[in-house]
Amino acid sequence: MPSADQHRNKAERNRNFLNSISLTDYPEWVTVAAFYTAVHLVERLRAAAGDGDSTSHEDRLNYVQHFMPSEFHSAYHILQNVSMLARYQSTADFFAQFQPQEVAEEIVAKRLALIEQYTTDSDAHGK
Amino acid sequence: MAAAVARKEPIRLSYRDGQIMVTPDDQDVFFISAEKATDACRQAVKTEERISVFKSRFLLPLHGWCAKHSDRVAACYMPLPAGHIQAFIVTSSSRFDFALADEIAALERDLANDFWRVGVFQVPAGEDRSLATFFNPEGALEVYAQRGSASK
Repeated sequence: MPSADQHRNKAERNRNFLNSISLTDYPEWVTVAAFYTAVHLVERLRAAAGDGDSTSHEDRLNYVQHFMPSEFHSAYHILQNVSMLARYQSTADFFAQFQPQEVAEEIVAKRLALIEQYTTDSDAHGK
Repeated sequence: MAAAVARKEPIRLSYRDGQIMVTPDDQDVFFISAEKATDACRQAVKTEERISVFKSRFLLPLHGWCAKHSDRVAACYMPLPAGHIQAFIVTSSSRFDFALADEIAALERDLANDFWRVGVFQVPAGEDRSLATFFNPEGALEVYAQRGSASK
């Protein structure tokens, strides 16, 4: 079972990778990296709470629905939804659905940032 | 030459006076969906109550939400559940709607708080075949559709 620190390390590496991707060239990969950064932040919070590991994306979403604030859940839900579209639809579909600026503002600066801030605040309060 | 195989389509549900109507030909598949959904999510439900609970506590709220958002929602599908329920809301626009996404998240939360193990996702309008990347239409339920839209 990975520890909270191990999930912190994975989240940080995913975030560094996200920061290295060209938003103009690969906005779909920015969304995927944003989602997997959030995945490890959720797992970090879950491990720190002593609630074990998620067994699947569905199990993790279920945990977020029931144990995280509504704003956190909305942000995570949207990251999962957008990442799903990025991974399984064609590149043409993705570029029809999203502008790179939306990826930067709505996904990274708004939703991922909310999850990161909540995690930082939880650390500060020793949750 | 191989014979052409007809593609399986979702089961179309119809609604009248707050009741869900299922054609006799679709009853068996519908019952399987209801049983799998309640098995996965609401194990306290007695077998004989499964169909009515699935209709009244899941399908009708989901259909009602879609109808309330009919200006932006074209269709909604629920694939055959496998351990959890998924619902895919197809929008009228080809653009991802972030404001609607927040409302879909709230809907998902409401259903989860009613003990359904569920994920509800937005799929912007696109080619019909793009839906097949997310779920098998065979055994799926068409929970909502504006006729002549994404329901093909």
